[in-house]
Amino acid sequence: MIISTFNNIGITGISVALPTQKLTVETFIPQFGEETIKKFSEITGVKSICRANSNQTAGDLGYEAAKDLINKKSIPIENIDNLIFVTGKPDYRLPATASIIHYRLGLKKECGCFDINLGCSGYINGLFTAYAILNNSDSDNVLLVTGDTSARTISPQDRSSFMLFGDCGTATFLKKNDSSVETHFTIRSDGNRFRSIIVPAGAFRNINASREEVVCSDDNIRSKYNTYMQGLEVFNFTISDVPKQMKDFLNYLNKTVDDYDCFAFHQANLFILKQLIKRMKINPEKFHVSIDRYGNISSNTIPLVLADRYGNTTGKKLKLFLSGFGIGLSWGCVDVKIDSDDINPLIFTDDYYKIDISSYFDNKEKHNG
Amino acid sequence: MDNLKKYNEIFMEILKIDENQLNEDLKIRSVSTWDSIGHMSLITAIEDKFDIFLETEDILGFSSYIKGIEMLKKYEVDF
Repeated sequence: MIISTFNNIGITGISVALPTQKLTVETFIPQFGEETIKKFSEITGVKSICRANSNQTAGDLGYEAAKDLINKKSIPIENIDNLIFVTGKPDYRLPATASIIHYRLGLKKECGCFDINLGCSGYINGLFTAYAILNNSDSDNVLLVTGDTSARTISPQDRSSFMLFGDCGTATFLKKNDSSVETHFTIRSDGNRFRSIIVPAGAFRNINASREEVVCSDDNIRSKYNTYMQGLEVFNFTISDVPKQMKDFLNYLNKTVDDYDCFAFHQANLFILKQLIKRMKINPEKFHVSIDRYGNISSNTIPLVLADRYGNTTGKKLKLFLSGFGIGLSWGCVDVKIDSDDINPLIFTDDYYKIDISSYFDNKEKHNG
Repeated sequence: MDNLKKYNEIFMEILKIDENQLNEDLKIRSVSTWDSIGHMSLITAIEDKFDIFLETEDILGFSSYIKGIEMLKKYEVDF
């Protein structure tokens, strides 16, 4: 098992931004019927989600979280050395959304800045990248931003996924310090299962794919531009590979579930969470559920769980076990300590970037070719 | 209630199917209601109604109506 251990680096701030628009699952009764909604809600645990308005992007939500974090923690803009943005729903195909956030925040030029394309394991991989940068460079800090609007590629007629995903953005600040407190990571990937969660068209592999909607093998209606999730394969992954990694990680660290104050896991659905709690023998009081109010929010889940549980808590030194798992397939765990004073309460926003690039396309001369 | 009747009722209620569909042809995805949500609902109901906790390997192997019966026999559920 590969374990990466870092010291002299700590998380000194977390902020989370949610869209103000709240949709209850009952909103979808006219579309899917009462019985389908009841069954869906019982199994997934989702009662409501926050969904971005049509102008809001993942980059906007991440930016709002970053702005909140910079303001509340009084982080000097000119001191930020790296910006990483994790998303599966970038603002544009090009450039990286991190470049836009870099501009909007007014960060300096001497600043590393790039996107990571991941979903539900994105926070773990983003943290790992941030720790690795700080461990191996003269940089003093990293601003790690996540954002996703997963439902944007889900077919509105997909009864198993359309109500499952909410939207969110988060920001985490990591800084070098003099502390010997260790943070441990383990990451796994299985590209062999890349088809398990996929949007087949919309990038460059199937550039001329038809937009025709068809009835898929699971009886849901989608086009190739929609997210296709092999639900049963993903389910098997989450009840086998994921708890196995958690157990391997604990064994390697010579720790037990009793050594932690809270388990912040990606929240795919309530059934899977219950299975993980049972299989790991975790005290339910140490487990915080957010999926009931916010749905599956991809790479944002772990910081949201922390902000939802500890956003108004002061003076606690928290020993945390983090776990993210999803598209790729990709999964990872972190053993980390965070001060509750560094976790900000949730904020809600409708704001978006009012950018105008229409001048690029003004017709000075009509092209007749 | 005998165990087969209890098992059958779980399938009929969750998958919305008739008793005559409960045979060796009933497998994951063979009816539209046995999707991931249906699968998780079946596992929840089987664990609740038979008061057992299924091992990971057994859940991974639970791919049909018949395999579910074989799985339950391992937990000393008599059919």
